[in-house]
Amino acid sequence: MSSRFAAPSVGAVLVDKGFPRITRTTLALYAGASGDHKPMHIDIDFA
Amino acid sequence: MVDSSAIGHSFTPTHARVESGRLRYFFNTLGETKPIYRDPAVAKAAGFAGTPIPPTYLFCLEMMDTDNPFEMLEALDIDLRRVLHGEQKFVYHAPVVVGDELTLQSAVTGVIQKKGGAMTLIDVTTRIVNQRGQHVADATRVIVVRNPEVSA
Repeated sequence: MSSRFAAPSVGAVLVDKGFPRITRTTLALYAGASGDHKPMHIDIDFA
Repeated sequence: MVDSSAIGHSFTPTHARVESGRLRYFFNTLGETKPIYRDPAVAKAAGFAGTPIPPTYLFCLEMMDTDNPFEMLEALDIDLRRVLHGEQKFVYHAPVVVGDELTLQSAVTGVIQKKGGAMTLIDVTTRIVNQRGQHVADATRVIVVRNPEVSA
């Protein structure tokens, strides 16, 4: 499959995107959604 | 400390089914709204057999559907508190879409010591095959282990 993108030049901006604030709820939901249940992501005592 | 004798160690294969409900929850959590991921008609118009998974989702499937997410840490005697997930790479050979049933087989493919053994970098490569026996992807992660008993 050939690339649809031209080779970038040095200093070119590839992505300029903001995201909502990451909260403990976000992390808990992502742990469930991604299957990553390691305790440092969801348990502040462990972290 | 993990050393090069671990290279070649393979882990129990994980069997995973790509389910639309779990995938929808993943997209809702990420805020991913692209129609190609949610509407089979849009995906088919783009040439996929069904709605595709996002590139990183293979790693999630292995974590979700393994019987023991800590098998690698236990087998190599690694303390979870000293672990970081370093590089992660996905090489696709064919698309993976909703409804596929995958077998993910991971093995240790490299061990490198850094700073005189203060840090170990472990490569784990996962070969992924679908229900038709088609080799769809290889995923490689680098597990970084700190060895605080070794002074750099």
